[in-house]
Amino acid sequence: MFNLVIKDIVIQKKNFLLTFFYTVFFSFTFSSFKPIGLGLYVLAPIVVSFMFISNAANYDDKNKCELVLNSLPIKRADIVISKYISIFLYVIISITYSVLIGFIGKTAGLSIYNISISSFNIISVLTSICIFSCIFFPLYFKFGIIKIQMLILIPFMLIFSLTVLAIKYAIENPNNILVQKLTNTSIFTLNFLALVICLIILLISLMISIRIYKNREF
Amino acid sequence: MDNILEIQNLSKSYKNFTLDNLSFNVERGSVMGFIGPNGAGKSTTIKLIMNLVKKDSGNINIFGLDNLKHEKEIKEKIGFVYDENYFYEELNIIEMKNILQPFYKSWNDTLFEKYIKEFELPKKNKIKNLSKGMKMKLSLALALCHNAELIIMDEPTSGLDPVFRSELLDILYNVIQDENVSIFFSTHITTDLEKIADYITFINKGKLVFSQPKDEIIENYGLVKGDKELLDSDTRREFVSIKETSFGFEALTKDIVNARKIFKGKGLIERASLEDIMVYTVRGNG
Repeated sequence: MFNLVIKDIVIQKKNFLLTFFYTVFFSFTFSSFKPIGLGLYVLAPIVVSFMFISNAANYDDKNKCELVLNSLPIKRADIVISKYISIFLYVIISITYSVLIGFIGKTAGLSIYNISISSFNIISVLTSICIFSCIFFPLYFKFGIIKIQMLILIPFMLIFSLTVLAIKYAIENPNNILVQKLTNTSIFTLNFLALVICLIILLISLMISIRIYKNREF
Repeated sequence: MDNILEIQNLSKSYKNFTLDNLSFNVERGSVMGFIGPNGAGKSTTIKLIMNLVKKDSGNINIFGLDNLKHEKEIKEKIGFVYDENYFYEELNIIEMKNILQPFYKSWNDTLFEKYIKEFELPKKNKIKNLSKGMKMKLSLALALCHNAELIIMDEPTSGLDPVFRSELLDILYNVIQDENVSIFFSTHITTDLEKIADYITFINKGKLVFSQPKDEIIENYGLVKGDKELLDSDTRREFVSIKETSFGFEALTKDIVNARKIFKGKGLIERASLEDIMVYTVRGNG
C-alpha cells in the first residue's frame, strides 16, 4: 500500500518545484487578504494539495496506468486506501512549503511574512482538503479523471471560496451569534471538532470509494 | 498434465457484444494461441482472466485457484503484456521498474538487467521517447522478471514491424524452454502462432469455435479448390464456407481425409493455414 503512495510521489516529482513557486506566488497575491497569513498559510496549501491530488489522478488516468496497477498483485481496496492516505502527505508537504517560505521571508525582513502559522491555519487546510477529497475520490474512482476533469473544479472552487468568504464574514460581523459562539469556544476545541468531523466523513467517503472501485470495469 | 488455466462457461454481456459460455483449458508448460477477428472477444476474455472486468457467470481457475478468491496470490505468478503500453510515460525505464518491483515478492533484478541488455533498451530514456517495439520489449522484460508461471499477452505483436515481431517470437521461444512456464497469447496475426503455439483456441463473435492442439487442426482442416461443377447440395455440406468466383471455388473443410475421398482426382486439395481457417470460418458464421 505504501508502495502506491510512494509511486504517486515519484510520478509527480516535476510538480514539486512548480507547487513551491505557486506557494510563493500565492503569498504575494493574497498578502492583502485579512487576516494576514491567510494567503500563505491557508489558501496556498489548499491549492497546492489540490494540485497534488488531481495530478496524481491525472497521471494514473493519462496512459490508463490503472490497467497495469490492477493487473499487479494489489488489492483494489489498497489502491483506494493509498489515495486517501496520500491526502495527508500532500497537506504536510504543502504546509511545509508555506512554513519554509514564511521563514525565509521573515528572515529576509519582508513585512508580509511577519506572521507564523497557527494550528487553526493547519486545521483549516486539512478540513478544506478533506471535504474536497470526500467528494472528489468517489467520483474519480467511478468515472476516472477525464470525465470529471471539468467537474472537479466546481467542488474545489466552492470550498476555496467558502473558506475565504467564511473567514471574511467572521471578521466583518464579530457580533453574529454563531461567530461569537465560535470565538468563545477555545481554538483547541474547534480544532479537535473539525478534525473528528473530517476523519468521519473521510472514512465514509473511503468506504464508498472502495465499494465503487471494486465494481469498476476497465 | 495439469491445467494452468481453466475457463468454464464464462459469460459476459455488453450492450452490443456477448461472450457466450466460453470454455477451454491451458496446459502447464504449453503455448496457447488465442485467435479470432477483431471484436471476437479476445481482449474481453483476457480482461476477465485478469479481473479487470466482472464476469456475469462461469468460472476461471488459474493454478487451480479461483481467480477472484485468490486474486493477489495468482497475480504474483502472472506476467502480463498488453496491446498498448500503459506506463507512466514521463518516467524512464529504471524508474518504471522501481515502481513495479516492490509489488512482487520474487522479483529478480539480475534477470531484469540481463533482459535490458539483451533487448538493448536505453535505461535512462523516458518511456514516451521509446518506439512501440521498444515499449513492447520493456513490457515483456517487466513481465518475465518475477518468476511468472503464466504469461498473458493481449495482441503483443499488433502494430509491430516484421523484424520486431520475429524478434519478439524468438524471445518467447526461449522463454518456453522452461517447462514450467505457459503462455496465453492472443493475436489476429495467425502466422505468429504457427511457429510457437502448441494449442489454438479460436473464438468468433464471443463463441468458441474450437480449442485444439495446433497439429491436429493443421492435419484435419483442408482447402479445396476446383470447378463449380463439383459443388452440389451434398458436397456443399462438407464445407465450413465456400468462396465462389466466376472461375471456380475455394472452400474450407474440417475433414481433409474425407474431402480427399470425395474429390479424388477432381479438385485441388491442400492444407489450410490458420489464417485460411480463421477467414473461412468467420465468413461461414457471417
